[in-house]
Amino acid sequence: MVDQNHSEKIGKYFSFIEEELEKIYSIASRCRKLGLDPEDSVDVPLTRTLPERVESLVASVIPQLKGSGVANRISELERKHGAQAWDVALMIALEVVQEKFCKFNNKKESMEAGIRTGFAYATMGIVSAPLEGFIELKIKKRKDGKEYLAMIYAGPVRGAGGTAAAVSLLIADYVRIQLGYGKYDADESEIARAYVELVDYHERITNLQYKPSAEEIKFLVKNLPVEIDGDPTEEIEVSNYKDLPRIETNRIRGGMCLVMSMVALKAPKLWKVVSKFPKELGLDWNFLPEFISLQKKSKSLSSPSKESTKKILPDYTYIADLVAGRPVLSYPQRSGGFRLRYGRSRVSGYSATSLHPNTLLILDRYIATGTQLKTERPGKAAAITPCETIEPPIIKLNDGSVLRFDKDDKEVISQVEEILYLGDVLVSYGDFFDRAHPLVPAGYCEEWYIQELELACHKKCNSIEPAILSQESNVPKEVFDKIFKNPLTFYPDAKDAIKISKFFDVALHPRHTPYFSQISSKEIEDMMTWFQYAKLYYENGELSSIVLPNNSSKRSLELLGIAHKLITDEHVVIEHDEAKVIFVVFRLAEEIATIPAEDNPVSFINKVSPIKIRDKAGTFIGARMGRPEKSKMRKLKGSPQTLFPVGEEGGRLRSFQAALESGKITSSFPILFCHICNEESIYRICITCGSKCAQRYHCRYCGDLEKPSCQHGRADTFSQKEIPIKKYFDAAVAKTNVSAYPDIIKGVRGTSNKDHMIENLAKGILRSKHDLYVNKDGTIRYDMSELPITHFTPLEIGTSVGKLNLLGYSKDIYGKPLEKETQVVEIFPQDVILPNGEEMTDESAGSVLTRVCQFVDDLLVNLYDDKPYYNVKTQEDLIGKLVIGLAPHISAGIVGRIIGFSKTHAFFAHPLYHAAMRRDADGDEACVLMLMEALLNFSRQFLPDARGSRTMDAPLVLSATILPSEVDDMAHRVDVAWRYPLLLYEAALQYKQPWEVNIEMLGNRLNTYLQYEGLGYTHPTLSINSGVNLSAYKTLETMEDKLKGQMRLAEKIRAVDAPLVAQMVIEKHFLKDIKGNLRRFSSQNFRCIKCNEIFRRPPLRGKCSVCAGKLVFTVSEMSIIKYLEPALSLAKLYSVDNYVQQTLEITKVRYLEVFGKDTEKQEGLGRWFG
Amino acid sequence: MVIILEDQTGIVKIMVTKNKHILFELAKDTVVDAVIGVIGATAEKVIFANSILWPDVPSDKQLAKSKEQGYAAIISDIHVGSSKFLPEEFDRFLKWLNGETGSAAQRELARQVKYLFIVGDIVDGVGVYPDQKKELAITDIFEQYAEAGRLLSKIPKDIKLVICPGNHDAMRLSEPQPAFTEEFCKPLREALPHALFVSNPSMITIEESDNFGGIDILLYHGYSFDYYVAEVSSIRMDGGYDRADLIMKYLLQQRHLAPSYGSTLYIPDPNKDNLVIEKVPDIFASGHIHKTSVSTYRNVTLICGSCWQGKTSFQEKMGHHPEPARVPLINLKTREVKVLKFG
Repeated sequence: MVDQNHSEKIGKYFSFIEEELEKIYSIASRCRKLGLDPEDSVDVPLTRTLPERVESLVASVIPQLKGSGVANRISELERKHGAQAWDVALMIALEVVQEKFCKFNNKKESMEAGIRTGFAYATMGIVSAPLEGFIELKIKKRKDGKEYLAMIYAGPVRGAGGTAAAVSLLIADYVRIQLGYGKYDADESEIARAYVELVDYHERITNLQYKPSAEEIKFLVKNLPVEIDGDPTEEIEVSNYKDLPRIETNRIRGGMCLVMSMVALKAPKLWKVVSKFPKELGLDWNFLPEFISLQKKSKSLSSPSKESTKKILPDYTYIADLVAGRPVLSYPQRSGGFRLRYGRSRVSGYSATSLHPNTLLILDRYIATGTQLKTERPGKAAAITPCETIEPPIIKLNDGSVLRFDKDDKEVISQVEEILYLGDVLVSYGDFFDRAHPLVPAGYCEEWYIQELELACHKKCNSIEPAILSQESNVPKEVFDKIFKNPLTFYPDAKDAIKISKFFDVALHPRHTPYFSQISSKEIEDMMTWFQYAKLYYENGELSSIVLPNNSSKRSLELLGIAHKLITDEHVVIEHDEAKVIFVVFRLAEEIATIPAEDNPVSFINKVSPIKIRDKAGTFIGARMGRPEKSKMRKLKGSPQTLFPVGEEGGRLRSFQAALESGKITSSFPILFCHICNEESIYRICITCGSKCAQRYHCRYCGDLEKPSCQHGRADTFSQKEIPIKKYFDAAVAKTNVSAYPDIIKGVRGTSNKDHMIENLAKGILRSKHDLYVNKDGTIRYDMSELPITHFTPLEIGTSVGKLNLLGYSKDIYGKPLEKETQVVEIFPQDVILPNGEEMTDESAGSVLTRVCQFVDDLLVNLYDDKPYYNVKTQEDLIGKLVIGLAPHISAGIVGRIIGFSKTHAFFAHPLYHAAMRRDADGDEACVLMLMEALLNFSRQFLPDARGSRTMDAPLVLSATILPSEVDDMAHRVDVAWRYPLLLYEAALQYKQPWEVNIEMLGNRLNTYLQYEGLGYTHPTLSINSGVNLSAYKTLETMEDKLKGQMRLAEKIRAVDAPLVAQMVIEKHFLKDIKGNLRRFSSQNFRCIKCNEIFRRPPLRGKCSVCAGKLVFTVSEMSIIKYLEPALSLAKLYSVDNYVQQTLEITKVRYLEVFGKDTEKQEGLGRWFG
Repeated sequence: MVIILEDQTGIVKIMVTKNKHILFELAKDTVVDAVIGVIGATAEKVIFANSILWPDVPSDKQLAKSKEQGYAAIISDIHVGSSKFLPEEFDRFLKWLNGETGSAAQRELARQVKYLFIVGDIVDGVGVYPDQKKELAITDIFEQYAEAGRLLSKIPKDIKLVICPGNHDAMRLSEPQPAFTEEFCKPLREALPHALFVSNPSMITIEESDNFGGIDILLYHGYSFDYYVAEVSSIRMDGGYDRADLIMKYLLQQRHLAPSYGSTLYIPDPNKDNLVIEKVPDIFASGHIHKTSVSTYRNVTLICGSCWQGKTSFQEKMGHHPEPARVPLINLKTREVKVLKFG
């Protein structure tokens, strides 16, 4: 069976997953039937297609849609209008509104349901935006008395992405037209309010991805047929235009700001589609073209003459929000920063970039695999992975010598005085394409050279046959053999490289090319004078070293990145290949006539040198450390092990042990009743006789009821009561079959879900036995930093070849049978590689998930009277097991399969897998759940009843397989070529747009079997475990140490200004923090030390009004002073700007005025860097 | 609407119905932590309010008039150091005080000025808000005060100069702010040895004589004003930032410069609340709002100084309409107020 969408191999892979899924679902369904959980069935519906997923997702908040035929109708519409066509979203929305599938209570409800369904379709049924990002549809009055519609948005709309958020407006507009509502008629103050609110949000809350201009907003609000409105999401009010009659709140509406900004940003894309809509739909969005031209105008105003200069300017955005303790690695476009290298390793692309492992080492281990970098370009952030086939750093040691740091040598690292060049950053073409960032010049590199050489060989010898080339050029044949085979790892020695350059008229091999563009022509001239004093030494008739007097030109030598030594401070010694290159390039043997003046140093050296020299530098990219990498079992606040309340009786630790001592628990519990035992229960199954209990109800006026409602309306299914905990606890212990129950079992203070649904306590005891912790939805989560991987070796993931063969991995990338651990294999789209290093601050996924499996087997055997399923003894047994992958803002889990473990903190998976979670790899995290565990324990009834919590970060539905056309389209921009064409490098020199160069991307392969396999990469990585796997940021305990490390790096890295870093740390972090806390101190809340009650201000009686306990501050003096000391120390040490110095001094006075002027205190300030 | 009322014994709920319109509006304007009185009918655990009382100013407050002829001028918010500082306008004001400019009548008026009160924000300061440096002409705080001293020293020495700090001045922000401290403001003190430097807030009595108790002037820069514009809808509805006098009247009615906890930064004093308006002043002078407004409430003159700084980007965004270079002048004998324009 060969589908055109996938090969037989992939087909087999999907059936493997499918079979396993069926097995797990049937066991879990059997168990849930016993009634021990909130529902009698598995609460994670499995969906195989997009329409199914949409229906299931929306049905999770509108139950009557379940099985109503919506999914089938979507499939029908898709067949007619095409898959993922926006028309489908509009039409299905209208049909739901027209109650073609099920009835609603009123028109408003039906319109909301319709819009949600359409919106869910537009977001692929993955994110929770349609459920909680769009909260309500309001029907408001126009000035003329007619009615119009307002979409009320909230924060979770963020997850929808710009285009889909804009589509939700289209849907609402379509519904509006069909149901005959009027257009929104914004007045002047409402228009002005929208702009002021966006500015406030951008400046005071958080940066908007795109901040539209005043004109753009005015135009949009005036013309949009539906009002963009929102719930107040922030505490603070807008700074102007309050008290407008049609806008209900003066507080900032985050959802409104997000949607407004996204609609403006995506207007061109929106128009592209809307303009092609059939007339019958009746949509009138013809104002968009005018908006788009207006937008272009205001954009060109804000960045003048962008076209004419062509070149790019340093962009400081990524440093603007710098954080103390997270080092700045390079200033924007600064010489010696990260050198741009185009390419994709098997663990980069899709927002991940690779650095040389030795770069990671030389940066004092601050940057590890999975650590996030905030970058200057092409994107704002990137996650880091290792790649050995790019340039390592060039460093200067304490003894004055300079070397290319290509061997890991601890001795050398301890002697670094200056990092002259950080080495390469490998950025994929796809990332430039996706961010629509113009291509920028690359430094001369091996993959560029080899293509020029190939061309030159053809030109000169009409062949690239090594034997012929060797014969003609007199360069040994094996040099050609090797360089054509391994252009990235093999390089000819200086003698051969010079010969090749001379004979074929190609530029000098990049490995031997110095960074001429980083010094001036004058400095090159000075060097030429310097070389007149050179003493040349020969060995076996070949130049072996050049010895020079130590003078100021040594610095130029350093900046050129040429390795050399300094002997007794007097002699500069250049040896081997470097000596030979200098000898030829600077024409040491000749008397040089005057060289005509030339400002450009590269042009200048080319006038001197008999062989062509290209610019080695290209573009340097600035970066600083962002979030550190993470892998950790998730624990809720208070680290509960079960969603069972312990009430106040649980004591400070919220433990059952404490509750047992007091004999009871007072909290809200479900009310059930066993007719057989004639006894109240809190479970749906009676713990005494095992029969089903009847649901009872509670009314706050009438008390307990048997019926769900009374004269006061609907009654609750729970009540506040006291339960005899010993009875339930003993029953649970008996059930779990543990001989001695664990020392401490922790519950929650109280449940926060709507019906106060509780978990079976036995689950908590077993979790505690296995040292596991529960998440808000009843599941156990393991969080990790997301990283892409397209290919792996059995060795690096610690899985035997035999086992991999069983999992369907039979061939390597060359089509050879998979037999050795070092062969490179392409990964299946839903396979995942999890963390299991020894170098971790938290417990690894391997050991946590092993225990989860053992916990699940315990549950199956003891609670559900079933057979064990996992039988996992060691982490190797986890290989082949299914998991659910889930990211924080989505509502649909993706099935994954564990195939191995790396020594990093990363959640390595195929870019398509991350895309299915609507994520890229720019430093985000996601989690895994063991599939069986989730199916047994998840219940949406456990989810807290608060916005965002009800649907986000929960497996409301599960996708069985990934369809590349249905994932976040950013993954379609992952480039899949094995080599970038020469054209790319030439286009980059001219700052062309990425789409002007043709490189194959995943998106070009959609709906063919190649969408899943046969992906290429350009730069091999030896092992994904190379480099650093644990950031020093995480092992350094105090802020003092982190800051000192940050400053040490700032001083070492040539591309970083230490005094500027000090100043920015003070201004952007410390001063902001100190001032904020000082202000908060004056308006702080107070807390009762006895009962933890919080008071806005102290009650007049001066003690807690609940329990008469003592009141204490909630903002401590420590929180203010903690950064004052380091700020003062830093300011002094780096003699920062007078303005900052004075600001600090005044702040210090403000602090001392509030807290008193102890002399001891004053002396303490400024001690840090002393 | 429910108001929770608290005293040292505990709390009680006050119900205010929408039907009693005036009462309801009054309740809406009542801010948290305000001291109020309630008259109403008690029920179980609640009181149904019939009326709400604010501490207020006695309605029989007398209009205090000086025996002598003379004027007091009120200015504030000079913002020396800001790139938006208006040197020409300020110079015109100084020249007028020195009798070097204006019509004969205006010169005569200048001659009769006995007092000049400066209600805070003498300089723009440093590090007051993010990225302030970009908007400064003088980035050194000492130089800012030296320049302010140089300008203010041109004021004729026979005019009594009284200066209190504001939130841009270089000292603690928590109120009461002490009089200009030596630490950063030395250049100012040195340039003006004859000036009276007072705290913010402070109460000054002038024109006191044997048979006249004098005129009490309450100086308060007005840092808490922003909070009350935001919180009290009647102030906002009637003009907001364009009507500083409404804010001042409101605070006078509450008899507190910052009745709500957290509405200004303060340093608690265990013995005394320094922001209580214990004694009703005759003149309440403030600044901070950058727009002069003058009115009278129960014989108390409410005056907000103008400013000597052009419209800042912040004010632009907030929709404020500053009116720089105005100087209110109080005739101490008649208590009439006129506003002079210097820009």
